[in-house]
Amino acid sequence: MNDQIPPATNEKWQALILGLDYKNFEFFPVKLLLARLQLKVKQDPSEENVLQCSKELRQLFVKNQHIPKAKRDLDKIFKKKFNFKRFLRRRR
Amino acid sequence: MTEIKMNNQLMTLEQTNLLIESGKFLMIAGDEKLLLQLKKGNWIAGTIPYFMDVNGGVSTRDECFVTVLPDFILDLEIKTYDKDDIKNVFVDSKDNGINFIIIPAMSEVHFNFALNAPIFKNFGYNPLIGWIAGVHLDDINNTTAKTATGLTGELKNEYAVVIHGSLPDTKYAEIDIVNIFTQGSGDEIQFLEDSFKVKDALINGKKQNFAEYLKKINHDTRFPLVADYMGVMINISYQSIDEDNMEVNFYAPVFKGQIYKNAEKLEDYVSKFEHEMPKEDINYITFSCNCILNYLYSELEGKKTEGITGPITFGEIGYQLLNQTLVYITIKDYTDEELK
Repeated sequence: MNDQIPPATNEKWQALILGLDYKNFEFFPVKLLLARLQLKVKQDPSEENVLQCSKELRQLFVKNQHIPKAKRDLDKIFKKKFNFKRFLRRRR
Repeated sequence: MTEIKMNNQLMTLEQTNLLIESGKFLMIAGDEKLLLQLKKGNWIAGTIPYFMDVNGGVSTRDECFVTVLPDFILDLEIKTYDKDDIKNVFVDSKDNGINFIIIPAMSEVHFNFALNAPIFKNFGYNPLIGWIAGVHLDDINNTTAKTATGLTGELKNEYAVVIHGSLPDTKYAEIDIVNIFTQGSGDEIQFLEDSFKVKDALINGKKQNFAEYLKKINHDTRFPLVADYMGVMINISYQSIDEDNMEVNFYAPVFKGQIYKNAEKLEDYVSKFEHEMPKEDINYITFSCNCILNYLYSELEGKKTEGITGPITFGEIGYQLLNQTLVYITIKDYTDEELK
């Protein structure tokens, strides 16, 4: 399932972290985390830090991808749907 | 979807002890003297004598507010965390976890959680909801906020108490907030460090003493600082202005680099609240809590807030510390559409 979510190196994660792209997210912890990560890269905009922050944001989605609001937020970023039935089968 | 109605209500000590004896997992709020009389069992508790009950806001030392956790929550476990190991609170969450927490106000664990929760490992992987225990405002100089677990019944101002559990694969939990405050149209305010207490701030980029600034603009400190976190408004409540030291104290930390504005003024909390509360969530709420400052400033005693009940607290927790905010958690079944 994790393979279905683009890697942290994907430029869409980085655009969000750098504040170059804005999405009207619904999932509360995504808003909290992304706001903090944007502050973090403002203070240290190095490539390493941007990549580290992208990994943190991606991992939040990996862990919450079954939650409807998080799924819709992922769709907003990447415009594709995820196979939840397959995710449940793998978890069992 | 199956409608989940929770037991969220004021109860006498006797009723609470009967529930404890039934073996249910409970989250309890009440005055210290009542909590000391609880039987041992599967509960966590924090001190507070203010509540939003079905009949409206009320202050009482004679009843406890009890939240009965639903039976479908699996693998329930009670743990305590001190100032050093609170950093593990998200790591200890279970798969498809749901976590309930109470932290005593003005304790070291409170300060550590408030400053650092957003950078704790696994932040946001599973929902963590709860509140900051407090005291009756008449007792604020004589006693401290405390928490306890039903494992020992010992009340202390030292540790956070947590129930970790796990939801079945067919259900999911979501935390959300109702914050009636929005950013006003005034100055942009930034701070130089992460702190509960500040001397200086950058006002539209220019360094000034913050206490002097608030005095100059004649700010009504019932209205919090508000930051825009990707469209969700996060408040920092003013605690006091220390004119001797020209410092400003807050109920939650401000964060370096974050842009804050003083809140837009509003007149009628209840009307605004009713307007903001997502009606579709009300029947699925497992737990909610609201802030003592909303209770006081909006004079909520005797007033109802649209089917929402729970303790009135010294701080709300929705993954991280929040202020002057109603926090709630819903548990829902996945729909067939969501399973596709």
